[in-house]
Amino acid sequence: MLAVDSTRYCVLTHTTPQPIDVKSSSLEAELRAILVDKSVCYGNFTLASGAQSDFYVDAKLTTSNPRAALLVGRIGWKLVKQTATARGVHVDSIGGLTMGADWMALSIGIAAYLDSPSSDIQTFSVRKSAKKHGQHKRIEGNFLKGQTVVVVDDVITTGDSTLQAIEAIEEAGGRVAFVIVLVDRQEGGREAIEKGGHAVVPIFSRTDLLGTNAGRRSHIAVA
Amino acid sequence: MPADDRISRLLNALSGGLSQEKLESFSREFNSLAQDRAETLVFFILQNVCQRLASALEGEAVSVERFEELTAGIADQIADVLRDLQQGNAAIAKLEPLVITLFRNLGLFRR
Repeated sequence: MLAVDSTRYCVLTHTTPQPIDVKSSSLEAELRAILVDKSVCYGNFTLASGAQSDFYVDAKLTTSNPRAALLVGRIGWKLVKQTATARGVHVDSIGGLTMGADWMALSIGIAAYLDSPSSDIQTFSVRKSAKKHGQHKRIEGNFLKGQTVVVVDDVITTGDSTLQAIEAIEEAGGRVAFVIVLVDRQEGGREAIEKGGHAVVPIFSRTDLLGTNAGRRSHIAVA
Repeated sequence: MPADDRISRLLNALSGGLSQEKLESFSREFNSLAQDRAETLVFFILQNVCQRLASALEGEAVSVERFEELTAGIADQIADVLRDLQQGNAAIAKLEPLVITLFRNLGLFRR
């Protein structure tokens, strides 16, 4: 779907995998390197919000990579534990809007199980719209009314997809404890979500990935 | 909310241009209108047009040029249909050109 001129800097590279030291404090550094290598493309792009940007983060290339998924899981679970403890909440399940959240939620859920099988953290996925037939379900997987959940998303720009997930979860009787995102593009999404009373914990910001002022949007195409 | 208010809101949103998020929102609203209003076929087709276009834009890097190609003419034609509905016209005749534009933009024609 990409025009050639916009993909010329989007190069997939294949590096030799190294064993992951899960005790290392540089898990974030390694995940950042994978993100930059696999997911960051340069060009002139129209984002889902209609805003234009000179970079695009295709986070699925990272979150669906087994090695990166292990890192996302370890780091994400660490953040879930820290944030839940700090806010005094018990987390029942983790999920978000398909498909950006799906690999991330499962990675964190698996990491939670490996770290603490008794935690019984579950995962779920939120459809973009309710099934038009059958039970008209919007949330699939392990979610029950009354549960406290962590919402995850791979990339936030305006926060629209995260807000859609939060709305669906609350409509279904869930409580959102906080939000964890892999990449915050620092374009107002975090503020929009926090305005609704939900804390946002990013693993990386645009500045972390690209440096100060990189990828500043040049134009907002729509209101 | 009265149906005409819903159409006015859609027209207002369309005037700001298209985006994937807007198309997804329009698709949900057209689906709802198809169930609420008499012009079921019109809203059903509008919902499908928006859903197909949103699907083409979703989850991948779309260059500015490609976005313009994919969405060319769509907002104006949907707005035209909605204005007809506001005036009490069925707008059926304007659906085929809209779908032709969608198919052309998406490169779906095999003839």
